[in-house]
Amino acid sequence: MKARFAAAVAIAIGLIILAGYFLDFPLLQSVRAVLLGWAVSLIGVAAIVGIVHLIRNQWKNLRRPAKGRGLSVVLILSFLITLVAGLVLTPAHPVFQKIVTRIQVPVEASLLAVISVILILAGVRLFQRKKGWMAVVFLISAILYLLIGSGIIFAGSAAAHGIGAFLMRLPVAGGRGILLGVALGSLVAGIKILFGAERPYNG
Amino acid sequence: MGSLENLIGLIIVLLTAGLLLIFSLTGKKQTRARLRSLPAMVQLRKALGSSVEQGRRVHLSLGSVNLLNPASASSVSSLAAEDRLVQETSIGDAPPVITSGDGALSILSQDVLSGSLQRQPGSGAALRNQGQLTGVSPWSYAAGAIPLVQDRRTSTNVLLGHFGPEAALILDAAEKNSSQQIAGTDNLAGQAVMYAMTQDTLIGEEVFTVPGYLQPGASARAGIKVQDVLRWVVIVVLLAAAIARFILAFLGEAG
Repeated sequence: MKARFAAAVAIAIGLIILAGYFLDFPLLQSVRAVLLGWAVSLIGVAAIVGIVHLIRNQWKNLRRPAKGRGLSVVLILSFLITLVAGLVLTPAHPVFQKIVTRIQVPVEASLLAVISVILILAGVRLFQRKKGWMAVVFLISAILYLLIGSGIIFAGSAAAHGIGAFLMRLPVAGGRGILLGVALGSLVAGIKILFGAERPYNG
Repeated sequence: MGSLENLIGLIIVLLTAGLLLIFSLTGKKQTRARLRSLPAMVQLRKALGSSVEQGRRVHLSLGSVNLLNPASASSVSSLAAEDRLVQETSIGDAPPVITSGDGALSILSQDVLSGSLQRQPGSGAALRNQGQLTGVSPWSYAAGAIPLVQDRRTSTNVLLGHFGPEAALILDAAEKNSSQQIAGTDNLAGQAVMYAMTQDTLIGEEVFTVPGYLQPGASARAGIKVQDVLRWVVIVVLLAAAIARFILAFLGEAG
């Protein structure tokens, strides 16, 4: 009964939000704005709950004789330092922002560097994983567009530059095709959720 | 947004809803519905079965995206797949584990998990803590998920949701663990990484079809059929627009 009630509320609110997107009635717009405001607040609270859950899990890891306890210590300490610094200085403070960005940005840049190595290895192993002409096309495309992007080929004369510019439009066209498919998928999934045929919640 | 755009949007939404209704109703009469075969889905079914047989666990990764972001659609859709996946694998010795990179997504994944358990009372209370938030940014999420992926008890990794290039970190860890990988995302960079790093990748709209393939019933399959119909509609409209533009340009030059 509780689950059905939750599903009914979710469907009703979903329909109001959708109707408010297409129909310009003042009352509907007001209700929609209020509901969206609640959603933003709830998502903010959910983020706090999620972080508390994350820290609780790491705390549990610390109490278990498991591998990776050192990482849990680092995570909890980093969290506490950031939390205290944020509360004392406020997140808008330039010193706080400098401290965070000077740790976060280099770490994420390092991970990006790791990914470039991983992808090179994945390219080498591509033919072990995938058989057929699609793997060949994928690899040739990757190498070709790396070369075009680096300016090594199709950079001399105006004609060569034109060919390079034409080739650079092909991935955009392919990307748009995939994005159209994704948009269709999102639309169908959204409507299924709206009508309760698919439920991303316990209902 | 202009009133014409509003009208077109409303027509598309109503058309999709109408098609869903029609396929749901007509699908009930069909005893055996035919869906086009997706290699990734065939592989996913095999992987789920073999995980249960081996007594090893399945890791479902929902990605890292804020639910207010329109790109969260694939992650939200994957929550529906989570329900089915949990039901199919919770009978095994090792319970499935679900990771996400957003607080609200994590709460929803735990909610779906508890709902699946209510429908399968014998699956045990240990499952209740299997929905985890491993980080709140894409990179920290991927880094936090790696220990779970590398765990020897994990035999299958299913990445369904919104992922960027950080998916490479998770997939690389899965490969080192010799576990099976099935991946799909709505993000172009994430798809390219997944295509290079996994044997079976869900491309484009295929990521939204997973709940339909896993779930029995006409309404679940109706979504896949509607996607197929809409794809043909888009193809015809694009071709017609291109031909019309060509003809108009030709007539303009001739005139």
